[in-house]
Amino acid sequence: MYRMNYPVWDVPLLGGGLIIALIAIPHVFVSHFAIGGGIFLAWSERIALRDGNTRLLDFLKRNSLFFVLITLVFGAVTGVGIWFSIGLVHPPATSILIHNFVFAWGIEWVFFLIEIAAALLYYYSWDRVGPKTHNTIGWIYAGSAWMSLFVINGILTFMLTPGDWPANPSFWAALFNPSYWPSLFIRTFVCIALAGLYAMFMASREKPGDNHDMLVQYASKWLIPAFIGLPISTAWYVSTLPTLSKEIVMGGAPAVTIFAVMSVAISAVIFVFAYFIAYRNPQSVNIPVAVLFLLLGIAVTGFTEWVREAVRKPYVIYNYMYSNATLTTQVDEFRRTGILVASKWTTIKEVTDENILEAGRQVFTAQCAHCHTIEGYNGIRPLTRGWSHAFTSRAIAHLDELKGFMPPFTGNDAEREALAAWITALDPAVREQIEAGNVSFNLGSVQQMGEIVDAAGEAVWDDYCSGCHTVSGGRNPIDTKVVGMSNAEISGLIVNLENLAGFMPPFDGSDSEREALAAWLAGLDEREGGAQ
Amino acid sequence: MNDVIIPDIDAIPLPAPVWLLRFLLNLTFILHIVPMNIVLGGGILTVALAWYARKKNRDDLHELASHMSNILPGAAAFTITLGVPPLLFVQVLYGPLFYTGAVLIAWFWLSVIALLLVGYYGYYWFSIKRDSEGKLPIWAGIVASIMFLTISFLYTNKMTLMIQPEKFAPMHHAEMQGFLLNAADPLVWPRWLHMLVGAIAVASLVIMIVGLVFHKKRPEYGDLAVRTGGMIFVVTTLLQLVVGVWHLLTLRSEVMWMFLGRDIVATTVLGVAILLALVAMVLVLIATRGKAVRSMTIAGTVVLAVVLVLMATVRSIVRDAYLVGKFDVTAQPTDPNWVVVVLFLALMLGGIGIVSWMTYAVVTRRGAEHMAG
Repeated sequence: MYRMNYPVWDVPLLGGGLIIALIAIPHVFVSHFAIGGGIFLAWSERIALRDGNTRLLDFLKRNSLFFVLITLVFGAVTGVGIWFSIGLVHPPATSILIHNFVFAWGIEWVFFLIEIAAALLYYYSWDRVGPKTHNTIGWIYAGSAWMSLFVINGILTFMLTPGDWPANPSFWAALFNPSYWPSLFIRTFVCIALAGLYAMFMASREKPGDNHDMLVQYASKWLIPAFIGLPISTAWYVSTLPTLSKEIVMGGAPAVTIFAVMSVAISAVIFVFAYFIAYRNPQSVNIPVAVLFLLLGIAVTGFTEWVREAVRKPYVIYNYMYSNATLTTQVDEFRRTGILVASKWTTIKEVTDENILEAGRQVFTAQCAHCHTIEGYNGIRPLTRGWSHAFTSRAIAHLDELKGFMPPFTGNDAEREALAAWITALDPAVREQIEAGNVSFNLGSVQQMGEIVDAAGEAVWDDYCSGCHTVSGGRNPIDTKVVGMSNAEISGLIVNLENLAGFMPPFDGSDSEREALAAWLAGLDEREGGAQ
Repeated sequence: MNDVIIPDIDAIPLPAPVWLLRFLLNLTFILHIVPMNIVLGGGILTVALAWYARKKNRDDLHELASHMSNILPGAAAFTITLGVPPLLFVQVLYGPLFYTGAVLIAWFWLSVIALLLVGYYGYYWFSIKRDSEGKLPIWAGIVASIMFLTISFLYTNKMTLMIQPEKFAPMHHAEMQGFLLNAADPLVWPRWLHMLVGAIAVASLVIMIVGLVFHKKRPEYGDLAVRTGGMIFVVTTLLQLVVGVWHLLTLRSEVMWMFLGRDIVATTVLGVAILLALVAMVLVLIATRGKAVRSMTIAGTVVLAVVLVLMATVRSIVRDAYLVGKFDVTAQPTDPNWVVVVLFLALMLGGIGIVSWMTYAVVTRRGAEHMAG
């Protein structure tokens, strides 16, 4: 049996995901312009040789050391850094990827090897070989760099759109998965655009004058392919995404939507600036302006990569493995056996009244710590502030329904109660009460609290709704309106009451009151059904 | 709580037979350690040479240090590049041990990336910049060398932890935030020193090869390089005998005895390796005395290359011996995808062809006769 296999690296405040992001975002930025830069150098050298443009040739020559220092050193080292970080933060997913794609990575490495050798030789041989040979080495650099993208793009897109790989594991179908081609186009356009931004930065360091202006203008033209190609390929890409991913971007998770909008908006700003500032007024592009362009480019990279990661939730490999390393096929089994038994690294295997808080902590580590910290990034303490014990337990039980981007909780009932107890005890006020001996958690009391949430929900109903609605029958019954709806759906309706048909006032209770009401309403079916 | 906990092997089958993946792991590892030794040992030697040259006011030695410093950035590029495939193959074969070991020392393991960035840029700085007197900026070399020394220590730490899975559970239960290090392990220090002394020996041969390159045009300078490199090689090889014996004695006793006669293959491989190291030392000694310099240096280098291959094999034998009864690398599901394997091998050959062509073109100054000026 495949179990929860690996120990979880506990990264306080930052969380593992942020560690990957801190390394990956600069890498993605630099590696894209390493590819675009290769095309830029080879193409520009070709043009310069053809037109006898010695100023351009000289510019390329002077800047190739900086290019080598950035791409070879920073690009290569941060690339290895991604390997290190994903292996630390998510060993199970990394293991799956490497079992599938070890030779794809091997092939990517071959191109990387050619790329590194070509870049070094390109830099060292400006004055050693003839112009034609030198340009050929430049094209070898550009070609191999792009080919490494051609391969790695398959592995990146696989995680979000594995197609029918989970049912039918085939290497080629996994590599050339549904979003492979649009993603390849997007990344290629981004590469060329970033090369333009980079060249603009290099040009900005030239002395003011014709040379500077010619180079800035030339660099700005490298943004044109992206200006035309990006909107088309992005629309194509979005059309290949899973439905849930589209919903997340289109408002399902406000932060993701905001980041996606930021990415598009900043891209638009770059294009507008490039036209009005760099193309029309090249003399105004000094170093700070060029750095601003680069920073905007980094911002777009950061936002876009963040959105790309976010829309994959609740999976790390879509429809196959959840973010918390549980395989989709294991959920039922783990709910039966319990996560503490299924996880190799827990010291507690069964929840008791005595160990309930420590058991809860271990459940948190096994189930939640892949994405949540306690206090910092995605911190569970701030996220659950003010939540009652029973409410927490109920939220955990319906995690995937309440929050579409979270995986289902896969533990048994006692583990869920233990986790809820531990989360509740994170609240300093509750902690004080525990220390004073006023509050204690045990499995019995926690389960009883499950009934209290219904009582709480009913109380909210009495206060806010019963003036106009009946539960069932009569003038304005609620049961027929919420029949078959989940907690999350009902909660969504309550937030939006004033916009619904029927001239209802906005719900002005607290969040926890709303959740309690939603939970109570969602349970109506069950209770009424049971009564009949 | 003292049970040995090792994650299960991934349910997804390996895309190639274990023997092939192990072969590729060992092959690419050997290719990786050649430039790695130059980066690590070469950095230390170059800094030492530059410092000595400055102290004694010796321009010839400074020039030698300068030539060595030019090799370092390229060697670092190839250490990293050639380090990728063994990293891939060790993960696919030994994932449960590799990842768990990494998670336990997570921050130290991750710090390799930052150290590498500083060290790599440090070598570029060291080789390109010159101080006000036109000399190598020694401080940059020192900083970079310390970075690579630290990285090598962390690697030894990690690789030693990985083959002792009985340490996993106690370490994990003691600390989960990745701040542990395996430094108290009696195996770590001699293993690290063994590798470090070896790296200096390999780098000293590079100094000799620099000497050979200049031998025809500038015999005096060539001789100096050959003698300097050769003497360092002889001293480090002798030192290695002591360190190697220490390392052997710190191995778990049943593993140690494998190399002392109990296992014929292990004993032979180690025995031949030691013997050949001594042969290499004698050949180098002859070269440093000015006799048949070129052929002796080349022969010594070739013999040392064989020693490296044998020592990598010893390393692999030690790894398997430590894991007996805990992790059987051969017991993994496989479902070979030959098309992809052949494609990889074919592209690798093609890639080597392209790199060779480019190198040849640059060395022979292809097309340079048409250049203006």
